[in-house]
Amino acid sequence: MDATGLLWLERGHWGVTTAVYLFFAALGGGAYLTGVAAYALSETGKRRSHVTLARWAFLVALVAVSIAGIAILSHLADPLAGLLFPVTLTNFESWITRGTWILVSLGVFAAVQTLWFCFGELGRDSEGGSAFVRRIAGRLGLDGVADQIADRIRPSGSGFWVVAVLGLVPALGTVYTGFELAAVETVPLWYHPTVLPGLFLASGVAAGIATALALTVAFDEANSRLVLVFTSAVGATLLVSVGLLWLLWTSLGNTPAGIESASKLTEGALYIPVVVLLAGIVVSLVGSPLLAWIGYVRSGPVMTGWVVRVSLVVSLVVGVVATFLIRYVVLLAAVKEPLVAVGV
Amino acid sequence: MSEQWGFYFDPNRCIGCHACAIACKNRHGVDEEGVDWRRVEHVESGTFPDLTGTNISLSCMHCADPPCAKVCPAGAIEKRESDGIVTVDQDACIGCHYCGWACPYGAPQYGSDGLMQKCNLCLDTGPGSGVDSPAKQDQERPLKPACADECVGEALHVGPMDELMDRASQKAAEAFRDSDDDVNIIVEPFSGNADRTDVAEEETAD
Ligand code: SF4
Ligand code: SF4
Repeated sequence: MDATGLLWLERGHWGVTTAVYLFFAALGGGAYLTGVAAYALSETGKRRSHVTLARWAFLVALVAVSIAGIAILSHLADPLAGLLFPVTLTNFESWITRGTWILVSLGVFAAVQTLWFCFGELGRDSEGGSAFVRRIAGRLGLDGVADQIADRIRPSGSGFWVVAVLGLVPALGTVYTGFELAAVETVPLWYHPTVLPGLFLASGVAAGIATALALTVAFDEANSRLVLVFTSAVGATLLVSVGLLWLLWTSLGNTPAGIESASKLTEGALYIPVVVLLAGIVVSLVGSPLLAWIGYVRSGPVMTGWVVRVSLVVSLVVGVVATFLIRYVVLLAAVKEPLVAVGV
Repeated sequence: MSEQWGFYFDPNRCIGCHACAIACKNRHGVDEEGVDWRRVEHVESGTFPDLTGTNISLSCMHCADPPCAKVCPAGAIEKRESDGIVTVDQDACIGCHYCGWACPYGAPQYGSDGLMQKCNLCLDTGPGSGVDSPAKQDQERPLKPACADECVGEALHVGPMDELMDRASQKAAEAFRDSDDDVNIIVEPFSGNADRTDVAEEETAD
């Protein structure tokens, strides 16, 4: 019998599906950001490896947003109502409503960019792994139509950049995934309106860059310098994530629920995910830029040497897994502040 | 707010018999396990042999500024202007369970349909009912909330808060007025151990 005078409340409202949703939404934002950055460095499409990275990044953004959408819909008791969100989600004070609009807008921008980078002017000459969408469309006899549509709707010059930059708003807006939890005042692990959104954004950006980069290195010719620049960005965003994780941990507080969350994170079922998470971040933070550096020094402009490439891909994937585990443990270690029985 | 309805609870009179919780289940036809619009908890503190325990009967507190309504994306939760009762419209609820996190008292419940259900102060019967009901004070034959009606120790009362204040001790009234929590429940200070079969016997004798 718990003899503390406290009444603990049920907390199992969300589980792994929600962690998947929160993760892929933020990863999608990070990937979109990667696509825009890679294209910005491509000298308006002249550097093919930059365009390849951008193509992978927008594809990843689109797939990630789709997975996030499926995850959130499957979690709802009424998925149809979720699909009809413009009519059903009427409370804009709620982060779920705001987040749905952000996620859907990001999906639209990611879809448009994927079309532009896989077809038409930027996709026509694509080859290697990133051209797989084009190849599939070709098999179905749809590549010609897709090329035409892409060319027709793609604005030239600054118009393209206006669209790309507008898409950055929902991409960075995936910070909402943190606000969704940070708005819950009853859970001390979550109620950090700056730290948690910052953590989810930074680690989402890290995951987005790492996923797009891992696919580029695994399936295409990767420019050594480009890989070095973007793995450094993975390292930097993971470093920021570590700092924010530390802030989250140290600001848990001494309330009963804060203490309970701390013990969940350091003992029991969540202990192993926490260790894997921390080890994964360290491996990827140090390993990815280091391997990219080795590749840069040893190879010419194009990264060669399968050992370095495979190790780099593994290191990046480990980082992505670690960023998923951040959401997983933050969700499963959540404890609601108990009620204090008056006069006991 | 034209009127605010809520609860009065005296833990000194509660014998922990769960009659209120069962009456609530029966009234609203809520028979699923783990779905409790009202529940009774026994809370202890101290170490043996100096243990103190009390019983708490708990449901939705019909908060003045309900956090559950703020987070609900579908706007399914309403703080009614007419009687201050917080209702949930199950036709609008999408079953996201966000309200479950936001409520500090564990009031939102989810059945096998995944939709939110909770105490509606017996505006009407059944999950999600009462949304379009007239104000409690304006109803022709208002249902007397089953929990209070069936309470063996007369520990639980329901009514407009100003009427419930007349029932409260000075300490309880002051505590309610001074409280930062915007919950609509007046709780008497607990003054002893919760082994209160004497209250039950007293009531049965009456
Ligand atoms: S007690 Fe919980 S469910 Fe009831 S009004 Fe307050 S926040 Fe909402
Ligand atoms: S479960 Fe229903 S009532 Fe609760 S927040 Fe979600 S939509 Fe609103």
